[in-house]
Amino acid sequence: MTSFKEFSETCQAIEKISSTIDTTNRVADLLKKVDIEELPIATHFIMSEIFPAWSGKQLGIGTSLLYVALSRASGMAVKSIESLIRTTGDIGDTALLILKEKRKNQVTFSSFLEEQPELSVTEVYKRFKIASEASGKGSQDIKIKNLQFLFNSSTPREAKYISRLALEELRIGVGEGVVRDAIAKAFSVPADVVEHAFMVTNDLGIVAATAKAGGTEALQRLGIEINRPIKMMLSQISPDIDADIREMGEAAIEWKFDGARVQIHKAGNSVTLFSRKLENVTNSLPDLVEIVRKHVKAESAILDGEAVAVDENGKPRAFQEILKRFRRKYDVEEKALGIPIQLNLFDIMYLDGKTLIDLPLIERRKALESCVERSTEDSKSICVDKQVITGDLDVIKQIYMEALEAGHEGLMVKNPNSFYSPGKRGKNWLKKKPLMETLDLVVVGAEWGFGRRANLIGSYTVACYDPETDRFLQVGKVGTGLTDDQLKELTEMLSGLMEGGEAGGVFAIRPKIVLEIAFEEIQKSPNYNSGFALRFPRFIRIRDDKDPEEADTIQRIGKVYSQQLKRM
Amino acid sequence: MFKAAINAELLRDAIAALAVIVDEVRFKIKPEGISVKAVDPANVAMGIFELGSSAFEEYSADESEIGVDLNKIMDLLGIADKSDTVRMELEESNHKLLIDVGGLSYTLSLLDPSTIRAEPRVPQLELPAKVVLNGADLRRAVKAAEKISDHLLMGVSEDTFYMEAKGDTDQVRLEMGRDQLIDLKAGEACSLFSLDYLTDIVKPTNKVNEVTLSLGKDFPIFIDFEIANGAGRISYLLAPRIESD
Repeated sequence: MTSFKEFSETCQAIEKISSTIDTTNRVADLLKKVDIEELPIATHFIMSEIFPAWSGKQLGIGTSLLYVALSRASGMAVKSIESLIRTTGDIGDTALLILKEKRKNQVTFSSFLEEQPELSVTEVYKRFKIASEASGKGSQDIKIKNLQFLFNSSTPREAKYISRLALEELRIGVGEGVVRDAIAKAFSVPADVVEHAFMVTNDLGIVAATAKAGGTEALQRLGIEINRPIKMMLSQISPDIDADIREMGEAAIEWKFDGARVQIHKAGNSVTLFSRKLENVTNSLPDLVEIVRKHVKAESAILDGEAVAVDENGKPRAFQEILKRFRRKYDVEEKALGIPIQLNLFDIMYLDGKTLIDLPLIERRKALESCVERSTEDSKSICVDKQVITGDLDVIKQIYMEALEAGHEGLMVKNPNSFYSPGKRGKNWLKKKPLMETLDLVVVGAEWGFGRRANLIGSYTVACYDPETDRFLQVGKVGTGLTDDQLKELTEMLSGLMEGGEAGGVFAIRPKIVLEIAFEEIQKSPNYNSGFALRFPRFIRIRDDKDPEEADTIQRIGKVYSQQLKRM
Repeated sequence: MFKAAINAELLRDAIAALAVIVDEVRFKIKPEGISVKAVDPANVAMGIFELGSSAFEEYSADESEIGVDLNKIMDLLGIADKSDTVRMELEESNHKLLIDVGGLSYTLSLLDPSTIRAEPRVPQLELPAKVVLNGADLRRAVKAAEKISDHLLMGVSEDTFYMEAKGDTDQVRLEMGRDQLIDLKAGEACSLFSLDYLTDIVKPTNKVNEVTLSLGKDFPIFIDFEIANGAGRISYLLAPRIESD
């Protein structure tokens, strides 16, 4: 059994380390020590996860619930805890402070047993799991008591990390990259084998346990499984797409649809749909399930495509319309009639027991076409996206104009010989869109509005993501471009995410919500910790299909900045 | 094998007393009666429950263990009349409990006992002071404390049992001498308890004539009383709040 003490000591050590290599070594040391049964838990914990992201399981512990549990454990009033958080700005430091203080803390029966059991990482996981599964009458109480147990069964220092884990934010800067390298180091397996195993399983916990049990060979045997969604392959904007096409020789050209990405898992008659964030959206889209059941002729398959909301004339409707359907949980049937969906398939990752991601795009394409039935009465509702393989820039320009005319976003330019790389954004998939730069940024701070907007959050501090340190770096403040309705919606979304001190109406926000922001240019700036500032930032829309870690990165901001310099 | 009949009100009071601690329990069924030991999820409150076969109108059983969702039982007993007789029979093969009450036949799915938290280890404690008092007096003191604070100090000083709650601004104290108590064994005792728990625990004592409290200094409290006219017994154990080092 691995004690939670061991885990929290690792966190504590990492918190003081700034180099990625040292962090990786420390994580590797931890993984080496942990028993194989507990390895998945420890692996997810160190990345601030309780459950693997693909599972769609939510811990669902809010700050207010956590404060009540801390209050019961420590005897400190919730109000005092809240005001303490305003000064420390961190739940972990607050937990440490109040449990360390001399006060009448609640104790558990363990204090009166001869040998006091040590809190294990498995016990912490079990308690979180019970809390996440509690529902209905009395569920709040169950959540609170299980958290209270954890706080009263741990030292103040352990409680610091338990409370941060409860909010799924350890703040130690350990992300997938570090853990992947740590697994390679801990179990002496090549990093690229770990990477591939991660791509097919989408679960570093499984990868770590497999590496420990059977090394490289066992990792290579891991494959894609139905209903364990893999990350979607992503595309990037190319600074010079013509040059990239020339380099490829020939490129596979597809329309870039203005819709929502879906990953479809089919096993016999059962169809499961996952969103871009890998949430299970099957129940919101019964019409799509029906279409897939009817027209995908494969015993089992995993497909990639874009769902587009269309109007009576088959024209695409606004992106927000399709997102509405993704979020829909009630009156689903009614909504399906109101907003019909068209499914454009463009890739296949798995077919009848075989993992296909290591085949070139042209091969996958053949497999895809072979299993999707076409030209039927409702053929408009499903199709394999039209693809042209060409190196002719004029032809490509022609297709680009057609796509825009049809109301779609632009083009996808793909390397015909490339593999499907889950979760990767690279040169093999490029997108061409009309130039109007926008960035997807995360809200990390906010400010109450003035005058007419006094009861609404009126201004948002936005940040880009730094995947190397797993931190969010500020790039500016946005307060324009929002309608009153959008302000209301955002105020509601953000009010549950406030943390830390409110000073003069300004407060910090837990990084959860992604906004698409337009701007005129990027400037160097000492005012924000990214070193950059956006000039004239404008709100475009809420990207609730994106996770904060999928926001634009500091590297991309740097790239856009240097491109600007070239243009001048 | 388990087949039994019992008065509905008696069963409801007994189950209600357990339900303040946990939602799901493992019932140990034996030829001489039924027992439960359960601890709340926070490991702060324990309930020890015994109901002897003589509490039942009819009772025959082999040894077995069943997992029960107490809320479900409370729901169906809530519909029954006080004077109804509840007939229960265990269908071991398919993990169901058949319950007949007031002309209604329920088939209750049982829980897999292994999915319910294991029986807790009960700490061996030597508690120097003992107080026997009327359940309604205890309930009244706790209710008064609730209005003022979220914790209650309980102790024995010479020949007096006291309960005291201090809020931010106000305080309330109840003292009971030997003459107001049914019995008192003096000893050094003074411990602080969370009212979140006490409030729930003293609820079932309201109807009880004799409640025994066993106390120590910064030690858990034992709250102990008979049910079913002496054929059963409930003991609660509540961990204190202690100043940490």
